[in-house]
Amino acid sequence: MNALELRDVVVDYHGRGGRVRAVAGASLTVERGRIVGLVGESGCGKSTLARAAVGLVATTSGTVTFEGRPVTALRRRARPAELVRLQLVFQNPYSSLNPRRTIGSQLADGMPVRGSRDARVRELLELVGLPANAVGRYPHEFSGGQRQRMAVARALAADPSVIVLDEPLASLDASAQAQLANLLRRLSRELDVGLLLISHDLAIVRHVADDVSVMYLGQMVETSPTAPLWERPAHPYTEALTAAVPRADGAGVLPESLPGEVPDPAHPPSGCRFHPRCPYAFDRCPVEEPALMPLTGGRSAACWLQSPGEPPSALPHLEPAHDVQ
Amino acid sequence: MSTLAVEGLRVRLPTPAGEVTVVDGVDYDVQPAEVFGIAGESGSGKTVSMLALLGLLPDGSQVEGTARFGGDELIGMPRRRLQSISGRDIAMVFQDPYTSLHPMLSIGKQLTEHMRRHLGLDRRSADDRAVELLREVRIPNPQAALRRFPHQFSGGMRQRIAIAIALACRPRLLIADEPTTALDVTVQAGILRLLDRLRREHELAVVLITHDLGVLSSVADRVSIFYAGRVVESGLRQDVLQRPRHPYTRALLDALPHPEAPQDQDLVAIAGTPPSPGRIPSGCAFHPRCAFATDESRAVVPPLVPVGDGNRKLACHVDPFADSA
Repeated sequence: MNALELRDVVVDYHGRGGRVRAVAGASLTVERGRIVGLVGESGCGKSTLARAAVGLVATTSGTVTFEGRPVTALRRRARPAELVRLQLVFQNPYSSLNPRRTIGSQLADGMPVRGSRDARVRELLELVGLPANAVGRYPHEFSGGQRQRMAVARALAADPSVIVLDEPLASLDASAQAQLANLLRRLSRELDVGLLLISHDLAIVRHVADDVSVMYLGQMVETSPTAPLWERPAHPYTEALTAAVPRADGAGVLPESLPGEVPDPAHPPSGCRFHPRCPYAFDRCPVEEPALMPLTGGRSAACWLQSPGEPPSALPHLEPAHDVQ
Repeated sequence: MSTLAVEGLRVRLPTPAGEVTVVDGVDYDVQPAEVFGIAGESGSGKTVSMLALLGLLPDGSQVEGTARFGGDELIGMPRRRLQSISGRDIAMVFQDPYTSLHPMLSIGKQLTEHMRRHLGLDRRSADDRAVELLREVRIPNPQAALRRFPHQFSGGMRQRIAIAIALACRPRLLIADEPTTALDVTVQAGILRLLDRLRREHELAVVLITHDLGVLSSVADRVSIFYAGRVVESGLRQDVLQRPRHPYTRALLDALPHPEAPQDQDLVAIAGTPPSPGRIPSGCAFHPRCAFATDESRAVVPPLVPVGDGNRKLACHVDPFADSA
């Protein structure tokens, strides 16, 4: 059974300029013991989707279910007890921990049962690789990487089946990032926790996630097991994202840039939303919107260059127009 | 001739706990049309070493050493003269384009004020040059952009505008401190291509400070790796990144997710955490985290000395990777 399931989720924000559709019909599932990476540029709606997944923003339409129960927006109510097993970790460990309370007391907060809390706190600290004496210390005594692992430990205190992590790696140095990435993999394998990992760092997602969903302007454009997504992207946007990652191989190769900008979600382009930036767009693309269609190998893509039920076909390789930058 | 030559740079900052040495003897030089990359974890002194040159440190800071910029010595230069040089001949671009632009002034005002003050241009010619600069950094519709405000642009466009402002007075040296850290990879690729083009077309010397070895690898010609306020290794980009000789450089590279590595392999985090300034370990500052450390490493600070063909410098008593280099 899918622990967390999002179906055709739509989220609208209402501002002075009228309605903005931040998420425009996105679906996603997270099973226990699996890591799902959610990637896309800023403004694509990935953080909004994460918030909708845990009930922090209201959905306009579509459904979010956790362990078979509907997740609805909190507004001013207390969070229902059954949702305690669905946890969220934020990007910034400097602001998500209380600076005036000890680590131990913040971890104990999240525990559902009274009783042997001390032992459980120590167990959690050990699990995330923090010293046992952290119990009586304060967040400022630790590095950014250690604080982020504390935030993960606090989420684990509730014995969750799914944790949603919103850019947990973004503010960390390479070594701290590696530690957290290893920890996340271990949690999913050993504790059978499902993780939804939102990140703009594709290199780390490639390493950590079992499956990847690529989001563009409020919609999924490709979902796939991780390895084949990188070897042969089925959507031109996925291809552009992967080509933009700089490599630390010393070769001095400049990464490929994707021309243009993410369009205003209040006025999405006609047809395929990616067509104004797509190097392969043809006459059908500005007119008709492709749905996310299933391909073989557990993959799907929303692109007219692919055919439903077929293996993903290679994208036409064009020499990128470098002069745009 | 070097655009900038720094020797024996030492910076002490005042803290409530007394003076703390943040940069401890740093040498480097930057040539025209060259991108010189400085990498290291947060707190390694890479930013402070730049701010020190421009007199941008808090009162009570002590700076020693020499920094030759053209025919001038920057260190100890009267503040007024330093300000006029650092506004005209040396420009800086920072990580956060959201805060480095003035929110209440139009783009045109921010671009032209600089030029009118430092180059003595009248309004008409300053406006013309502003349009030319925005075109140069690929801002669409530059005439209209002059009348708009920072919040009306995306993060990537704001960073392009910040670069245009930095270039306004035709500097000879551009210091870019984590210029792409806050941006998406697709946008980052565009900024890196822009920097690369500008240095070629304008013979601009660029100092690029980054924690991202992928960014360093894609544009830098020569690099220095900072650790705890010192340079531990420097040399040509391809030498340092393809055949790292310092255990710290190697560890930094090993912590990165490698695109070809099997997914089930853990990333290799560096043991321990970087030391905080004021608590720098004796001898080689990296010794508590280093698998190769000897008694000599623990007692004596290793000097940065030329190795191999002389382009390369290394500060390590052990040099465990001498053969592979």
